[in-house]
Amino acid sequence: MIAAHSRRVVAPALLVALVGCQFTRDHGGPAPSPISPSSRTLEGATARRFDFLLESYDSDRDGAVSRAEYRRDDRAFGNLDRDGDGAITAADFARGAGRGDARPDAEAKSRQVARRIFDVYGCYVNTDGQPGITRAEWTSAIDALGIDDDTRLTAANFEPLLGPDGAAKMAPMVGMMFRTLDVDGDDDAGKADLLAAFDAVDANDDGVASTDEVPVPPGVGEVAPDFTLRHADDPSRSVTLSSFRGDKPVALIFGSYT
Amino acid sequence: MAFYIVYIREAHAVDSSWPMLHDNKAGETQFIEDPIDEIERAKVAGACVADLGLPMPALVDSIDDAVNSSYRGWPDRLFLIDAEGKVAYSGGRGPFFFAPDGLEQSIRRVLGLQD
Repeated sequence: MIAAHSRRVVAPALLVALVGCQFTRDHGGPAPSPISPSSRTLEGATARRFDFLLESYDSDRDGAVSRAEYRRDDRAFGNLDRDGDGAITAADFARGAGRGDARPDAEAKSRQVARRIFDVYGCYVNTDGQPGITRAEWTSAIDALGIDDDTRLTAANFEPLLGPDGAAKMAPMVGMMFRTLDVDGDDDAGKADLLAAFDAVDANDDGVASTDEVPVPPGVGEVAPDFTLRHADDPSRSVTLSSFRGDKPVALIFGSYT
Repeated sequence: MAFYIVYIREAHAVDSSWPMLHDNKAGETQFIEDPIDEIERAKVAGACVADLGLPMPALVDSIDDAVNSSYRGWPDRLFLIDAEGKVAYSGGRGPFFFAPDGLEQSIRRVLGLQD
């Protein structure tokens, strides 16, 4: 039995072959010349994306894809029609294209950062086996990282939680976190700011950042959310997670091709 | 042990808010649009599994992203569910904190294997 288990443990080593970012992140390949006049002002991958859309949807060959020509959903069209003029054009792919959305206020920014923190790091903080994160868990994590009221956050602050390699990976994000956590503009992002972020998320003030208030992955000790999903290669077959209870552990690898 | 890919919403579809292109192993550029129904998502999942030679079966999340939402799986994340149906490993959010080593250590622990 143990030998059989050992053989099965080889499979996790294969997980290393799953490139950590969305299964595959090969950005390479030479860029062909743009094939349409409308894309000549664009370069590289941006031009290729626009060419793909024209080839797929520009049925009247006018160099733009109207909503009527675009056969997919509103969400995707909204992502592509960045300037909101009702058509997908080269201008939507030019550098700086966008709607210039109004910047959120300080409290909204704090809430946005808190949501992101919880999504990224919630799995390290949510350790009580119950859904959601309590203010006590949040405070304990802050104290464990040695963050006080005067802290200017650096990647080094996260080493106790993530290790040196994990903290190094965080370095590009810390600057962003610092700027948006410093809601009161006193040039630090310390314990008070992090607690304020929690309070901004805890909309009903019950001391728990619950899963309907903020995205938090299920933590160790929690009952795994059940599901029934179909096989990709045979939709007549499905798998229910709870069917494995009392039988065997299940590893779940969430991801996508892109 | 059972291993499953839970195939979820694309991270960098060409029509997403953060589009990227990539080449498959044959060097052909893939223009992946974000699937709008489960049939389409299953097709892209199949292409992914085939191209990367992934050894475990892929299950397709519903197009309302229900399982992705309950596990916060996007863009990629690892979990281990023990034989009692409880979370034994809750991985960090990908790409930076996607940690196969952490999952492997948890599997060894749950199976009672020595390092």
